[in-house]
Amino acid sequence: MATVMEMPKLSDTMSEGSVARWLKKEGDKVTAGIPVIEIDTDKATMEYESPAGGILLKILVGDGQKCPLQAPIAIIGKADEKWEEVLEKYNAKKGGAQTASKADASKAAAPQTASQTAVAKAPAASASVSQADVKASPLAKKIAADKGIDLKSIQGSGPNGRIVQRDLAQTSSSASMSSVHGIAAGAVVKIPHTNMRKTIARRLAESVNTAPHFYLSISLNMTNLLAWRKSIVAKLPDDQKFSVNDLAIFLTARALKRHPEVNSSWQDDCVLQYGDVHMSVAVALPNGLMTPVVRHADKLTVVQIAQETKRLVKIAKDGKLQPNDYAGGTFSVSNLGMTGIEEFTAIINPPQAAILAIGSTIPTPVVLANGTVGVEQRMKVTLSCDHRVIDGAVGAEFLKTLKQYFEDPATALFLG
Amino acid sequence: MAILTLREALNQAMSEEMERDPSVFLMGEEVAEYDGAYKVSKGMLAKFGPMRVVDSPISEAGFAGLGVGAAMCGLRPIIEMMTWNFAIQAFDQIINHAAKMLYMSGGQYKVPMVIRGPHGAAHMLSAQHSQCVDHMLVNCPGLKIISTIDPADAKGLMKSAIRDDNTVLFLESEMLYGRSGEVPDGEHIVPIGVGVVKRPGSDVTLVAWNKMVLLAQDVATELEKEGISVEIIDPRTLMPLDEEIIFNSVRKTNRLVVLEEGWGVASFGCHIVDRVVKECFDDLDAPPERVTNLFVPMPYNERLEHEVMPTAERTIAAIKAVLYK
Repeated sequence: MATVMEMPKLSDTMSEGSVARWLKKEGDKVTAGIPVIEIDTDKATMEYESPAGGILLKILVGDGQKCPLQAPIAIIGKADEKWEEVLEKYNAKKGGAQTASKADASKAAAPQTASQTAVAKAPAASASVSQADVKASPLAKKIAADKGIDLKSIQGSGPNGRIVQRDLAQTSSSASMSSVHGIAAGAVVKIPHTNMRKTIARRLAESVNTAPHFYLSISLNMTNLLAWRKSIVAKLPDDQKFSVNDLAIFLTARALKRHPEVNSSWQDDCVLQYGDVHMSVAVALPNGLMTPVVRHADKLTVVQIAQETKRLVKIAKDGKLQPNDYAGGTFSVSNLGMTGIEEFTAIINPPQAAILAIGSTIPTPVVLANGTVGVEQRMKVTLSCDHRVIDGAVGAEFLKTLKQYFEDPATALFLG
Repeated sequence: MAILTLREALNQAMSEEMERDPSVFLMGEEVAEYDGAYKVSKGMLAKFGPMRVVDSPISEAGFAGLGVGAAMCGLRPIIEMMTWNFAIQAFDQIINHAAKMLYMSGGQYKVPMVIRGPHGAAHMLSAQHSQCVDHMLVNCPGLKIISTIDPADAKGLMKSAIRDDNTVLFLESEMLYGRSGEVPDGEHIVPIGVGVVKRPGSDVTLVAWNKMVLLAQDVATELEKEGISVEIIDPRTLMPLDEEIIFNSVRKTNRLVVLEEGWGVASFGCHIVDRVVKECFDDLDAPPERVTNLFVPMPYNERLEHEVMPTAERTIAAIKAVLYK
């Protein structure tokens, strides 16, 4: 009995699916429970398992194509089964109720099959048209298809701008080329929206448009923390070392534990305050931004936070984050310190009530307690608050605790 | 292994086969008393006598036809054409009779014959005596066609050709009969239809046969100084063609240049390019290039002759074109 594989709903916000890549070819043997396809959801590329064992008879939605949820994407069955008949039966069964009223019963299956095939084929046509606009050698086109590189974003060095193998040599993903190769004067490069980019745009616009933001900044004296970290890290084996960012997550989580009004979210009918701190960590990827979650950050050691963050960043960079890796955060940190940004304001990651933006630690002239001017290692952090949930004084109290913890990390151990 | 010239290697192959098989005989203009126009059959009359090494009149169509008849009657003739230019006289016998007899007799008659001789330009022989005939013959079904100037390959392939039950055309080169190389003694067989990688490389596949292999090797050595690695493929047999060795090379280098003597219009190089574009399309990073004779009758003037023939400069330019350099 053949099985029709459907486009699965892999996240709550997913409205259509896009096939990143089939891991098997037509005619290949597949086993139930073994990944056969990678699907682009609105957030990540996820492997998805075969619903049944048998031969992958027909791929209906090819690499790079999109289709609605629950639309048939492949047919799995025995080698001697005719996929056309399987699809026809499937369509007759599924479409029967809708089509019965429009067409007479004997023809019910046929138009449905036609329209299903049209759904499956239309994106293919548009995809090939867009690739055909680009002048590239057959080899370059093959490499681009294999690596998922968008040829439109690449400047060709062959005759008449033809893209050839060497133009793709340093390119590994669809987003990084323009910075590697630059864009010729006068040229305009069109980069189609990925699902991830669309989601980022929608959510961030929603955040700034609906959550009334205000910002609180504070400068932290990092002298003690840096010395403290240095002395501890020196004693740890390599796989347990932690960064200033890991410490920031650790201390922020503990400060949040003391200020549940900041570790909260706005809902239509209430404000939710959370007893656990699940820390969303902003990770920049070549094609967008993800916020995987370090769960129970308030209960983990710094070393555990370092290891979990490292693991999440790696799977995020591999595009393998699963929904439970990025869902359910209660607060976010965004650190641009390593890029030399001194201070910035971040947009709240809805429905959370606040986000902490961390700048770089720089030697700064300050007026010391004795009235003289000295130099201290200082780091500026900015808390973006949703005013519907957090009032100015509440945010300020949280930052006060944060300042205490950062400037005298030992207090976090006792006060947390 | 002995160091033999091309003419000695061919002589050795024919002599060994005539010793082995009494049905093999050699016929052609000046092959006997004069020891061959290019001395390929030197000493063979003395060894095998006038019944098996036969001087013919100047009548290419006549003795080619006699060869077809002899082969149909069970002998294995080797027909020497003083040059393949003269064999154009005998194209009716070759194309209409030798090539098609097996088919038209419903398999009743085989024509196990070898027709051999030099072809292509030699040196200042002008328009009627400088022609490459491979592309004129290769599209006629029923013929096997070998084209080599490597002494060892020539011996091994000649033995295969003589033993083959089909008509085999063997294309040599006047200029290179005196060129020597190592040739295995005794039973050395090279199968028909198997090409050879003359020089391994990674950047571009250069397919060349007959005397163009020598030009290809010069060009590859020259380009190596610039860091360009050329892989030279010598198919040795044009029909049947060892396509896989070419496809495999192109799949590795992603680029193809065909270097052939003779005119480029509807040439054998066209066929190779067609096959490669069809079978290796997704592996090509550039359109294949061909280097051929200029499309003019061969001039007598020596300098013009060199201009018409494929040159190192044009070959290098073609290789750089497919490399986008």
